[in-house]
Amino acid sequence: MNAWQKIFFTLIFSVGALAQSAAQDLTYTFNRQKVTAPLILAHGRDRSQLAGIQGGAFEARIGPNGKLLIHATLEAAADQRELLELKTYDKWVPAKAPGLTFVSCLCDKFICEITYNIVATATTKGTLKIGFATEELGEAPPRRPLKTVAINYTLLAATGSVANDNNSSSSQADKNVVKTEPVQDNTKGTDQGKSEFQTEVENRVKEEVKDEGNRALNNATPSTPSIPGLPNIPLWGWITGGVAGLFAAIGALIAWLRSGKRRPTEDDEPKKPAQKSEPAKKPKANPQQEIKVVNTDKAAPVAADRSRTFILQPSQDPIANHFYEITEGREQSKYSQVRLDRAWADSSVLSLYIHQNAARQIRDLIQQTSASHAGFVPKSGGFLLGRSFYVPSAQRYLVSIDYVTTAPIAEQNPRKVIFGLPAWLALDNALQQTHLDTVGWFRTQPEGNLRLSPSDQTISDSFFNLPHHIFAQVDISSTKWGTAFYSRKGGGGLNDTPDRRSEWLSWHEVLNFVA
Amino acid sequence: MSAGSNPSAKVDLILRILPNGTELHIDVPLSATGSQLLQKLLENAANFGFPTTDSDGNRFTFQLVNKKAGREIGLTETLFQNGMREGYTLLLVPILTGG
Repeated sequence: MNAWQKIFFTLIFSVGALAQSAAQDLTYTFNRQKVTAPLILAHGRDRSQLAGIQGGAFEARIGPNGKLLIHATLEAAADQRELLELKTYDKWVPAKAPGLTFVSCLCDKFICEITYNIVATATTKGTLKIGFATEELGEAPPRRPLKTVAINYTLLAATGSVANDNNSSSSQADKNVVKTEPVQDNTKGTDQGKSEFQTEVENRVKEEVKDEGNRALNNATPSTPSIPGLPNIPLWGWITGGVAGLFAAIGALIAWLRSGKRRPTEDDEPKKPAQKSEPAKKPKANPQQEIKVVNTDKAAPVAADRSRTFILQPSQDPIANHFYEITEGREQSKYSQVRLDRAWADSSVLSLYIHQNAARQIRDLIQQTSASHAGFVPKSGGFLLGRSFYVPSAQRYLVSIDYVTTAPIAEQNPRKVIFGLPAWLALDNALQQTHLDTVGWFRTQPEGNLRLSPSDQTISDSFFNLPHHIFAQVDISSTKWGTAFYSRKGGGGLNDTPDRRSEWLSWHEVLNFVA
Repeated sequence: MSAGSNPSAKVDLILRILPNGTELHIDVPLSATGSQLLQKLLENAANFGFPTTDSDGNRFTFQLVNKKAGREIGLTETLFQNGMREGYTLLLVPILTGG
């Protein structure tokens, strides 16, 4: 692979004479893989003369898609925040600059993001002059910018081996990251000649190119073109991949044809279970063990499918064992079962198992909230923690609610419930201490009339949208505290009042059962 | 000077994304401000599996929280100023309003 194919660009820039900047970078590990996010090489703060604006920050970096991203974020005075917007328009942003072509300009309130394609093929210097203005909401756009920010930049062509090698060695990566910090000093100047840092980077780049060239010569790898518009993989890579894929497909076809002609032999067996060697935690916990889900809902009539049988597998799964204990009776007395497959015409959760402690936590929260606010009853809420288990034969879930967070919400309000800092800290503490999962959320409905509000729908669809997630709503205006457990349908949408098949459950029934 | 007491040192932090509790490690300079880190995390939201907008395209507001101090990290405040140090836990939480 030649050096050119590995090319990437480093950016050095300065924002006019705007003072400070700081080298910023971020690497993180995700799914055990180290990822290096784009390096923010410079950052300038502006005490702007824009009308109503107190200050702001300009930031330029190379994005994950190889584009140059410029962020302008301005801070408005407190009394102006509802009135003003930061604006820039395509016509105030150069369509082309050395090594760059304009892609888009998007503004949202006080943030503008301007994107350029990097088209430079070698080290390139240039200046971008971008106009900004503040716009009073509801009025016509300003005719000309109130301020123009000049961004002097240098695109340094370098070999990708810098980044790749760094990724493979964290200590080396750290050293290289530290080397970029002198950008702080550099950005105070404009493009008046090269700074020491620029020279150092360019020298380093040259060395890397040279090393890469030597490596290429040693490997005797010819220069190969890559396919435009596709990831930067050389043509021979595509061809090799295609041939390998073809062979793999033929192999798979032969294997498939053979499998249809012969029965599995004993030779096939060892491929399967490592489970065989593991000691079974419970004698009953056998992959073929059938577990009966016993209906404990006293209010519901006994239905024909009451003794519906599910096969829980694999048996060593601790979550399966959790449900095994619940449904087989050892823990049964501590849980109240709610049949959601009866409550809704279509529910991805078959049954909820509510632990007595969780039921009492919600009861206590409601009683405390009601008692502490004379005159009105604020809405309250929290998060539901428990476990979920997929039942393959039914293609539905069993969910237990073992713990409920009931931290004070951010604002006591009869109309809304805001989950602020105390609620999140309580959730995190609970997750860490109990090792349970978040299985949903709940809130009270002091004015009765259980229904999904648009904001409930938004929260559920955005943050609790897995098939086993539950949203619970308790009507605390009624004497029996009618409760709705909104589950998801098999197709993914959230059940709502028109979809219900039975009356709402009374929370008192849950409490009576576990009392 | 140890990494934790140097205002510009890079430190390894644990980041937990609520409400689902997704946990990952991040290496970040203590000189990064709340807004810089927040922006970086939101850019990678798709990788981490959390939404930044609702189905109508409205943006959610997120907060970064210093778990140990139980305190929000201000947008213009650096991690160092907030008291974050090597190995500390950072929470990324949305501000949610129901009802």
